[in-house]
Amino acid sequence: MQSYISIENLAKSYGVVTAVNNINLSIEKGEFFSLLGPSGCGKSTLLRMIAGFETPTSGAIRLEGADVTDVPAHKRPTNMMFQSYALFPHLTVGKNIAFGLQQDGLDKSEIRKRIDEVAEKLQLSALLDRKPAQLSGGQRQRVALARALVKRPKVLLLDEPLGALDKNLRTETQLELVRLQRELGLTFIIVTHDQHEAMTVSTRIAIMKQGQVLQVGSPSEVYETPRSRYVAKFLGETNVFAGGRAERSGEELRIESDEAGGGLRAGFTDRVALDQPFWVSVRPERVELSTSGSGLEGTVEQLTYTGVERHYRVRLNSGATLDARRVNLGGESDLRVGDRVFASWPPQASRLLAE
Amino acid sequence: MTKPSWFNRLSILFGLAFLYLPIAVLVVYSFNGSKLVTVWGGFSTQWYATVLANPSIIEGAKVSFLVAAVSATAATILGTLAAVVMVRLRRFRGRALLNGMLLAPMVMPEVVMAVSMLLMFVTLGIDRGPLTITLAHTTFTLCFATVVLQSRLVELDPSLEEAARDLGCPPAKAFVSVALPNMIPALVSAWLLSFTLSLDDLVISSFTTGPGASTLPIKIYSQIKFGVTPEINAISTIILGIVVLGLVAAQLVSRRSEQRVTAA
Repeated sequence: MQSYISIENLAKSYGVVTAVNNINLSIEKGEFFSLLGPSGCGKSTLLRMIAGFETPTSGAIRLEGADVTDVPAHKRPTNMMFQSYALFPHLTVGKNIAFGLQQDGLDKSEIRKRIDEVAEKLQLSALLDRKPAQLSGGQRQRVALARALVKRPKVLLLDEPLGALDKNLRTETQLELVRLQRELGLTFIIVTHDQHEAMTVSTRIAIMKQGQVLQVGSPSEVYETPRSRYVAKFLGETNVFAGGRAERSGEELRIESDEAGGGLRAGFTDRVALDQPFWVSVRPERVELSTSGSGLEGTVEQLTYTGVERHYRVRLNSGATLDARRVNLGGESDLRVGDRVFASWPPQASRLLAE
Repeated sequence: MTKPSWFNRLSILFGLAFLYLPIAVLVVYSFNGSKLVTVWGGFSTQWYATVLANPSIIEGAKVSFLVAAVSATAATILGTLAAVVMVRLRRFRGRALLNGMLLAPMVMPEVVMAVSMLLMFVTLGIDRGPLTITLAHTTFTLCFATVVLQSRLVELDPSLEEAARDLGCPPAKAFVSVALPNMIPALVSAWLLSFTLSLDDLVISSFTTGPGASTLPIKIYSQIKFGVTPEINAISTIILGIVVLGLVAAQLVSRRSEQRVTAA
């Protein structure tokens, strides 16, 4: 089947430095797709290649089946929202939004109509005569979005679009972006280093590291079943223990781990080769702590109260640390720093990870 | 703010006196009623009238203004191109060398530049006149114009032009419609700076001049050979006034643009 956007063996190097290394991706129409990774992982370069600002060293980019690899930026049906917003300082908000339509040679009444339409959608109607310097950060962000959306692009590219906003406005804007994207039925590709942002807005996430895509999946897929140690650690917090000898009994594995100081149970999977080095991970929210019973034994070393949750850091007898979380349901914690505890979790909460 | 001590005040006073006393004397004596340069003969504006009635001086002024205007325009255009190359193409072979070569004329002895240009014009067989002076002035003001424009372009967000291209504007048009309007203050101050530098240049002008192309400074210098007259004081004061106006205007324009940048 033909993908809406397909990226085939795409690579980009600057001299000896490889920024993007042989990436393959398929993105469908109407998706909100995230490129997630730390700075320098090549996510922005990939986005800029889709926009046409960078020429790939090799590989191809197809849009609805047509090869656009060599089409210059100004002829591509994609529009970008820049990290700095890149609003034209010498033009008013209205003229900023009109800029792209004027390039297309649309007539004045049509331009007027489209500006009014997008301004209303993004609550900019009252600001059309202002200059960018007279706007707040949130307003500028909306102007940048309006300027890109008014062109009705096939794909909207967003380069760290919310980086300059404060936390509350950011969360609000994320939800607003998702609402807009659903309403317009457009395809969005967003670049971000913020895993919360990626999880909140995306239909699918590609996790990148050193120019490569490590894993692609829906937010719950990549969070619940990370395939590598890197992905597990990058998305949220997790406890990771090196696995040793593994024994299968039915659908369950029993894994010796010197690092955890005991046996760990996990559901059987054939996705990870057990004769290679592998790790067992468990999310802190899945760990149960009790003062009696069985499991990994240790001492509560630190207790943090965040309001929503209590975070426990347990020093296991093996010397490793284990983090656990409990949702705050009211009342005081029955565990205190220095208490002896046993940590356990259901086998399905364990994930086996390759390097 | 700390209050300046008497020592600070005194050093400022001495410094200013050192810099501006000669000029002040010149300005004051340009209003001298006496024919003798060093004897005060009461206030008079007669020497200004003499200057304005002197066709040779007026002719020199015309040449000077024409040369300054044309060479400033050429230097600003070439400087813009040089600044774009230096700022936008961050990495290319010989960038450091080119940057050094662009700035070297600022510190190069003027006589050396003047002689080399004279040699070049003679070798190429170009008759010396207004054209050669204009070319020479373009060359030596170019580096100043480039520096002014380069510093503005560095501050300009490169994604502005990318945004314009992204919205359907071809690259060259993107530069003209987005980058240039945001460089207007720098363009104006680069032009004014080049204009004033060209206006008061003597060394390069006198080497590259020819028949019918005597600039005002050349005329003044040749008159001085017969002794300083109060008329010279008047011309100098007029030139001084124009140069000061130009520099103040350049300063004001660039300050206004700075304020706009910080406000944005």
